[in-house]
Amino acid sequence: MSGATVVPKAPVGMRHRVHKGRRIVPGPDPRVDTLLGMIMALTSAVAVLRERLDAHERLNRGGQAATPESVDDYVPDERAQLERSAVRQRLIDKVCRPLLAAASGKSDSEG
Amino acid sequence: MSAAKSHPMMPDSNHDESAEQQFVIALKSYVAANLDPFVRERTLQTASELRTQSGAEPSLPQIRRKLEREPMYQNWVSTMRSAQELMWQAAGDCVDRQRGQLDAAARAAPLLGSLTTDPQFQVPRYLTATDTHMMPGSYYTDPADGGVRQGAVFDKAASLYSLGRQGGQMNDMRGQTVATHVYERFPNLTPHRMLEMGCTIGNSLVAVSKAFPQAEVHGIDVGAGLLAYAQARASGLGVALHCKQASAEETGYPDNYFDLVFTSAVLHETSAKALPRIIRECFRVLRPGGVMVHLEVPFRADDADPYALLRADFETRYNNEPFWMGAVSADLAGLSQRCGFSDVAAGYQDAAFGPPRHGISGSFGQDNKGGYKSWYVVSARKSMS
Repeated sequence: MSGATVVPKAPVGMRHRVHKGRRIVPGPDPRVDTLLGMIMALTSAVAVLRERLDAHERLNRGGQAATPESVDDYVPDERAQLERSAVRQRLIDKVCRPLLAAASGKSDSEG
Repeated sequence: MSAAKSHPMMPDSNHDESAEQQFVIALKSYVAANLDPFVRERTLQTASELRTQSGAEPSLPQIRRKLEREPMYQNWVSTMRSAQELMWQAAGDCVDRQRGQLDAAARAAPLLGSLTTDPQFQVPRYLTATDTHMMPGSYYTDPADGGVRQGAVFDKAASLYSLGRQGGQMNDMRGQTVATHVYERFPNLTPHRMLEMGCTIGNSLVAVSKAFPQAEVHGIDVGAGLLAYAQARASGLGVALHCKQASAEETGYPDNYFDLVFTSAVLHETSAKALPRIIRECFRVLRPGGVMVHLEVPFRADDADPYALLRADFETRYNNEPFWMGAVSADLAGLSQRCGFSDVAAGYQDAAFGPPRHGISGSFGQDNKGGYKSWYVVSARKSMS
């Protein structure tokens, strides 16, 4: 991706951050939907942080310095991808467990 | 991250962006595997209860009104939508980090084909009312400083959207399916000029063009940045696309101009008014003997169970595809006949994951193998007389 002058671009505005036509999800309080969206975004950030930490550990184990650049460029091998996938899955399972409980009609006290 | 790129214009993902994209895929997969079964069971149960109470088949709004009161349904909608919003955010952030480089790459590419944009172009109302698929800015709103952003975001997100089931990073399975359909139903067609209406980033069009390498290849869509990206993307793959900003209802091409006109999962993003206009426009721009193909979602409202209807309802109401239910309910074959087409056929085309081969048979019929395995296809010919 080179060969022409790169012109720095200004950050995009709200029109490119929030979609148009967002329908309210039914329920007693629309803030529940807002909070659920925030929790999923936070979980995404935790997943990214966890993988960044994993990159540090793997680079160190391989005798490489974990710099911002080396982490940005790190590509996990197949085994590392599988291990990361399992960690990611456990994180989602944990965060979404209350959704499963609500869907199955079981409260925590019912086990 | 220096993972192999599927084509030169594909935005790079660094470590964190790749991790974020993997999270989106995992969350979407989690919903499909863990929450969808509860929604399915509850939907069918609700439909059964309503049927018993009234003695009649319940309508979709009746079922939805009951489910909307249940936290299970509310949570499902919120989680599905969150995953979709995170997908666009992940793709958008990744593209915005390198927007200057992507625009420079699009300008620097040895461009094949052509690009015709129209600053006065009016995007149809059915696309401006909401952002299709919840993509902020949709197909047509470019940043104030222009560039290929919307195309790059669409391309990056598209392979995440279907969890890689539509041809991976190339996202060309629907194009391969259209080409396979033409090889089977119209084996003697040798298009010299073809058009895809609603070509977005040209992912399907490149695949179809490779099946007919002698053809001049045209694509229209509503976004200038989207089309600029499509042309640069195709050029990087060695394909000359002639891209034009135009509506499928009024393409601006001469009468009898094309040998093949097709759409790929586009009709359900239009409207009840636009649909017959689009079919009539296909008829007008095709030469006598030319072929029209429309590939659509593999689902028909008249043979769907209540859960399939509820899933379609989600796409309509929350994924901003307001004509989804209209398109899967429309009599596309009858409409084609009324617009003058002959040799009309409607059915299910097996999904194709590679280039078509001559002599293929049995890949098109009435057997719907389900999502990502079949596509609903209507095709017809403009008669010679």
